[in-house]
Parts: sequence; C-alpha cells; structure tokens
Amino acid sequence: MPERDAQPGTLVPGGRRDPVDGRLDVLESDEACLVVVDGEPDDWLVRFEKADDFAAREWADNMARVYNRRRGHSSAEARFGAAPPR
Amino acid sequence: MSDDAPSHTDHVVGALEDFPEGSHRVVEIAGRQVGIFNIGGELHGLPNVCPHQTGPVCEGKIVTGSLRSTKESGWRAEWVHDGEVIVCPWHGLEYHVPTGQCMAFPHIRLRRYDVLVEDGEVVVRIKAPKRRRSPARA
Amino acid sequence: MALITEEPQQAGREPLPELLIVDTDVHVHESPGALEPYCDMPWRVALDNIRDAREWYLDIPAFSPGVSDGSYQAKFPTAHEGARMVWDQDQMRAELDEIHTDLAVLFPDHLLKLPVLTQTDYASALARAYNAWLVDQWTSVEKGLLGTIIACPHDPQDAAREIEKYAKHPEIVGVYLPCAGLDPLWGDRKYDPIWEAAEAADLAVLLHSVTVTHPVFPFNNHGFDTELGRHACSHTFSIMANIVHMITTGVVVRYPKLRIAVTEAGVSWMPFLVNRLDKEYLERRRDVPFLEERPSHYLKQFYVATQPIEEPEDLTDVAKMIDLYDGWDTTMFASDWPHHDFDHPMKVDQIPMTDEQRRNIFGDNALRLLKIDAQGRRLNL
Repeated sequence: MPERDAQPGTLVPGGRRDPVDGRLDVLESDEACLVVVDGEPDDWLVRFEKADDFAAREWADNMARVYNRRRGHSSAEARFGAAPPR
Repeated sequence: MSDDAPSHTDHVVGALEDFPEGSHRVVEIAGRQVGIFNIGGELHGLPNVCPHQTGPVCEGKIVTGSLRSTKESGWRAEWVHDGEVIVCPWHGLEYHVPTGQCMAFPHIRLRRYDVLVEDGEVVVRIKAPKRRRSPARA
Repeated sequence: MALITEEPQQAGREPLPELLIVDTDVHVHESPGALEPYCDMPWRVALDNIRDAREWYLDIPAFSPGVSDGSYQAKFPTAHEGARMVWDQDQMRAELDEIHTDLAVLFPDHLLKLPVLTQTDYASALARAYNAWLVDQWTSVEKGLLGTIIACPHDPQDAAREIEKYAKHPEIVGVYLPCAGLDPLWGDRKYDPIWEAAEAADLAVLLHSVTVTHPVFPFNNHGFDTELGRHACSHTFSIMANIVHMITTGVVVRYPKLRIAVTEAGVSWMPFLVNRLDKEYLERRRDVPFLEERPSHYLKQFYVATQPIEEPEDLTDVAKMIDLYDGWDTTMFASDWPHHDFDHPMKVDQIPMTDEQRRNIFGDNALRLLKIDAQGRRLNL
C-alpha cells in the first residue's frame, strides 16, 4: 500500500466550531466596507477598501452572507443526516 | 495596560514558550478564533476567517513566503516575505501576516490584533462588547 | 458609517441541509494496490510491482504517468491543500455530510488520466479492474454513493462489453468518458460501439477531463509558462473540443436517446460555444448535413456540471450566463470533492435563482440525467 500522506483534517464548515461567535455585518463608509461582528464598529475583522476597480461592497456582502448562512447551518439542530428528505 | 481603548479585553493564551519562533496556532478567545504567529520573535494575531469564503485562513499548515515580480526587478521573480505569508488552505489566497494584507487583492486587509508578551505570558487584546469578554484582565 | 444588514432574501427557502443535493462530481481514490486483486493477469503482476510507489497528486508512474500538479514549473511551498484524497466509503460519506451532499456521483482520481497510457491491453485491464473495485468497495445506494464505470477509449469494444455488464447494476448510474490526453476525441467513429452500448443500457455518459501535458490537442500546453495557463485552458478546452466533435460527427443524431453530460469545466464557456457553433453553421452547414437543427439545439441538451463555478463579484452574471444557454434545466451542482478547487454548495447557492431553479440545479436536473429517484435508486432497471 503506498504511503498515505498525512490527512490535513476536514477542511469544510460544519465540522468544527464557528470561527466567530456572532453575526457578521457590513459597515460602509466613504472609504471602505468593514465586516464587523454583531454590528460593532470596533470589532471589525476585514477591511475592503473602495476603489474604482475593486467591488468592495460586493466582497463584504459576500463574506457576511456566506458566513451568516453557514453559521445558521452549523448548529446540531440544523444539521441533517446523509439521507435525502423523504 | 492601555488607557485609550476602554472597550478592550486582554486574554492570556499561553506562555511564550508555547509560541516558539516560526510557529503558528489558532486560539479561541472572546468568542472567536485568532491565529497567533511568531515571526522572527514578533507575535501577530489575525482572525481565522478568510474574506473569500470564510475558510480557516490561519490553519494553513505552513507559513511561507511568496513571489513578486516588478518593473524595478526587471520583471524577474523574487522570493519575498519569507516566513510571513499564510495561504488559506481552502482556495489558496495568500495573506501577509504582519500587515494582514491580501496579496492577490491589495484592497483587502485582515484585522491585526495586538499580541503582547507580559511576564512571560502571551496576551491578545480584543476590542469587543462587554458581553463577549472572557474572564481576563480588563 | 452605515450599517448594512443582510437583505431578507428568499424568506422561507430551505436551508442547504434540507435541500436535496446531488453532487455530480466526487472523486474516490484508487491506488495500484487497491485495484490489484481485481485486475486480470498478467497486468496484476505489474500493479503488484508498483504497489509501494511514492504517490504524487494524480501521478504514479506506470499507473497515471505525467504531472497534473504543476510540476512542470518550480514548486514553491504552500499551505493550500491540493492533495486531499478519499480512501473509503466511510470517509467519503462523512466528508460529504459536511457539505450537505445527499447523493454523490463517483469518479476516479488517477484514472482521470487513463488516456495517456500508451498500452491498450493494460489500459483496458485497469478500467475493468476499477469498475469491479468500484462496485465492490464503493458504490452504495444506502450511503448515496453512485458509480460511473469507465469506458476505456483504447478498446471501444471492451468498453461496450463493460457497459453491457453493468447496464442493470443498481448502483451504476453512468459511464465516465476520460478526456485527459485523449486522442482521437470523443466523436471519432471508432467509439461508436460505446454510444451504442450506452444508449442500449440507458446509461448517461459523462465526460471528465483533467489537466495534463500531452502531445495531443488540447493538451499540447507546454507553451504556457504556468499551471495557471495550462489549467485555465486544458480542462475546459478539452470538454469543448470533445463535444464539438461529438456534434460535428453526428453522434447526437445517430444516437438520439443518448444522454450526455460534461463535468469540471465551469459554465461560462457554454454561451461562447452556443453562439460560435451557430455562427459557423451559417456558412458550413454542408459540413454537418446530418444535423436536423442548428448546433446549439443539440448543445443545449447536454448537461453541465457547475464546478469550478465562476466567481464574478456580481453573481447575477452567472445567472445571466446560464440564461444564455437556457441551462436552468440542464445545469447540475458539482463540488469536485476532495480536489483542490472544490466548490462548497454554499457558493453555488449564492447565485440568484428562483426556488424552482435552485431545486433543479442542486438535485432535480441530476435526477433526470441519471434516471434515479431522490433516494438514489435507478428508475430504469
């Protein structure tokens, strides 16, 4: 049997605790969009600087939306088993 | 302790020897995961969430460098930021740890948390609302 | 600063874990040692001989030769997990649960490169061994793991026999057509026994490529400096070239009941091909006198797996692209788990879609292509 490379561990959401315990929101100013935790301006995680050739708002919205949906699915109640719905 | 950030909390995450030079690990404090990096003896903290698809950016197995090619270098490739670049394990986006800068998209920057060493202990400073503060030094 | 809260879009829409998700491109990991017990002699001796070979990503000499991981250029250290592998049913089921997949369509790892082997009898023996191993070790309706058997292009008659052999197997839902390094392209007359057998078996055929560098079109990509260039072109160009050949040799009219799908090329090339082929047809109809309709008529009946889904900042653009090839009834979600550029369903779920389009993309279109029900049971046995 060929040597197995060490498995890096499951790299998909749902298999571990959430990286942020809170909802992500987008705070927008003239200069940038910040992705913040629970609407708190000081508690920002990522800064997307606005520019003519960079869609900062879309990036920020995407990050917040993806995370909030994912987090909504990661609770034990929300997760379902492998079988398709009957 | 800093006086100019009344809503911050400090969190002891371990002894300095738990974070040897060249290492990185993810800790959980104040309701979030933070990647702690020791680069050349300096400690850096980044949120463990990639702006692209919220992947575990700080969990890449190695911290490496990257390549740059500019007019100034005569368009020759140079190896830069050795030991300072984390690559998101999900889709490969690179981030310069000391600045939080995304290398593919210069307009994207991860927040850097202050990471201090006090009395041999590594302390991460988080600005978060009161309800999320862990029992730690105020 | 203005706080922007997420729009309450799609209120009442089923979350992903509740949606039927058929993942139309998932990869098992086969190794020489795993296939050895299933392999005919004398080729079994050769597999035994290489069973301890060091394994690179989709690259084992005398099994899947030639690089597929960027090794034609300098290899710098990275933490991007490019070499994930899934070794057994339980691991696959657990990992697919994490991405909310209910039913998965299985493809190989190494034997994505089957066409580059130069030895006809060895290649067909590997294909037969893989097919037998797959149904013995992997496929399971109960676990939602459904197989595609390999049609070895080197020996179309043998491939036809394999298709007949598995035609009524309850856990086989399609025929995988390898495209990496393939010459001649699918559509060549020599492959007619395969279409005939697949049509008779009522099994869909699914084209799957991978990036290799090989002296055949479109894999003569050594001229690119980078893996970015090779990867961007070879996968998708291969799929395009093959289906252009299948249309322009009349496979689509000579085997009208054949259901055809393509994988791992994204979707953005479809509007290009639809428009380009129809434009060509204005001038060159006599090249294809057997076509009763313009080329896009046939092209739009092909099923298209989404991975690697394109990522414009405004995902409405992806919806527009699907509109442009009338693809809401033929586009199917695929993750490509566990490969380096896999798509989580949440990425495809961000594309603006109606509820019906969403159900189609994530499940119903694949059920129709494969003729299975929502539990993965074949409807055509």
